Amino acid sequence: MDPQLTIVSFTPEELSQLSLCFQTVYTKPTPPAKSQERTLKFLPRYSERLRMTVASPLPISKILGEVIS
Amino acid sequence: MTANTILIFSNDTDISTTEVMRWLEHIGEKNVIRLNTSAPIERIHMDDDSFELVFSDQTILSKDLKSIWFRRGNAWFDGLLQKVTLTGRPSLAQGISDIYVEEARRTREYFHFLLTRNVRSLGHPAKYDLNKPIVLALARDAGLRTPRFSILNTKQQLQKCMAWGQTITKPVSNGLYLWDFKCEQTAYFSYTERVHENSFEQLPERFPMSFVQEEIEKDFEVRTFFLDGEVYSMAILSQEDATTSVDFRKYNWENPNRMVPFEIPPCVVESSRTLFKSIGLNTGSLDFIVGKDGDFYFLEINPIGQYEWVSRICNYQLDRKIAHWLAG
Repeated sequence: MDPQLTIVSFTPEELSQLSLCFQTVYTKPTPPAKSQERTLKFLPRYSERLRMTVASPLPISKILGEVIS
Repeated sequence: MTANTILIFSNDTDISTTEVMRWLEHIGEKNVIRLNTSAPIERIHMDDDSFELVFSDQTILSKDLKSIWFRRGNAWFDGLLQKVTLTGRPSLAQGISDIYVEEARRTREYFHFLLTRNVRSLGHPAKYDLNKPIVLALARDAGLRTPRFSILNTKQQLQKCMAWGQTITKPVSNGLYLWDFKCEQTAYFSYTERVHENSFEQLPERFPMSFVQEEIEKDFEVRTFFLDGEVYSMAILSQEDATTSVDFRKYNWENPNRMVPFEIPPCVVESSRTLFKSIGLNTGSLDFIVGKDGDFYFLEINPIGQYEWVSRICNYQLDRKIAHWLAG
């Protein structure tokens, strides 16, 4: 398991509001805002293409030869 | 003019969409349009048999489409009906705004109907988030074994379920996967969890409605990608690791589960085909557990799940196969 994960503590009153499946919830700190592109970091070989897709001025992209090449 | 355009509904960041498009380019498909969920549609026209969408400098005509892939997303047209503000009449403004939400939903439904009726489609825009208990019932109808489950809210009912043996709990819908970048700089996750005796003792007589299921003592897990009747499976040997034995998504990064290509039995393949047909889907990912008894137990279908890892680990080249399906 991700070593950064810890179990969230709930009070008895809080637990009484939670379905059984949410009585155990894990948490971990998020990366700083500047490095939120975790997918890009995780898969560097895709980073250039993804950057181009995300940064494209055309959210609908006719891709071939124009946005991704 | 022949229909030669392939339309892919997706989002800005889906890697699999990008990979399939690269394959489409490689096999010579020149007219491929990716419509992301963030698309600002400028003009729309639909009638009783066709549609026209205009965005930026491009136009999509239904008559030009030869195939569609509903990879991700379904909230088209929401931006065409924005929240109304009327001076001194907040109730009326809210009433119309509420109706706008329905207007967009129904329009989307009709759009999907037109698309799937007239064009060869992979995936289904209205079936991206299936109902777990309903799919379990349909799976049993199709001949698949499923673990027993119960939806309950009392300790007495839970006690009966715990007599099955080990019991697990998970949401009927989706688990928690929350990245809070704004307030707490914290991420929250939930997984499938065992219902333990000691937590049972601490429960009140009544608690919020919960889904519990019999835990199958497993030999290993199987993830199967279904593509229009063909299946591509991978065994996940998660049972030997205490971290991953109940839910393999609690990845053990230091000692990852072994995952290998796997062939599911013909009767399970046939039942899976029947199940997909009864749901009205032609692609998605199935999760199975193979019990210590050797039986296959169906857990659920994720219609838009990630298949990239199955493809990469097992060398199935699923992106290429999807591209060929779309190219016809």
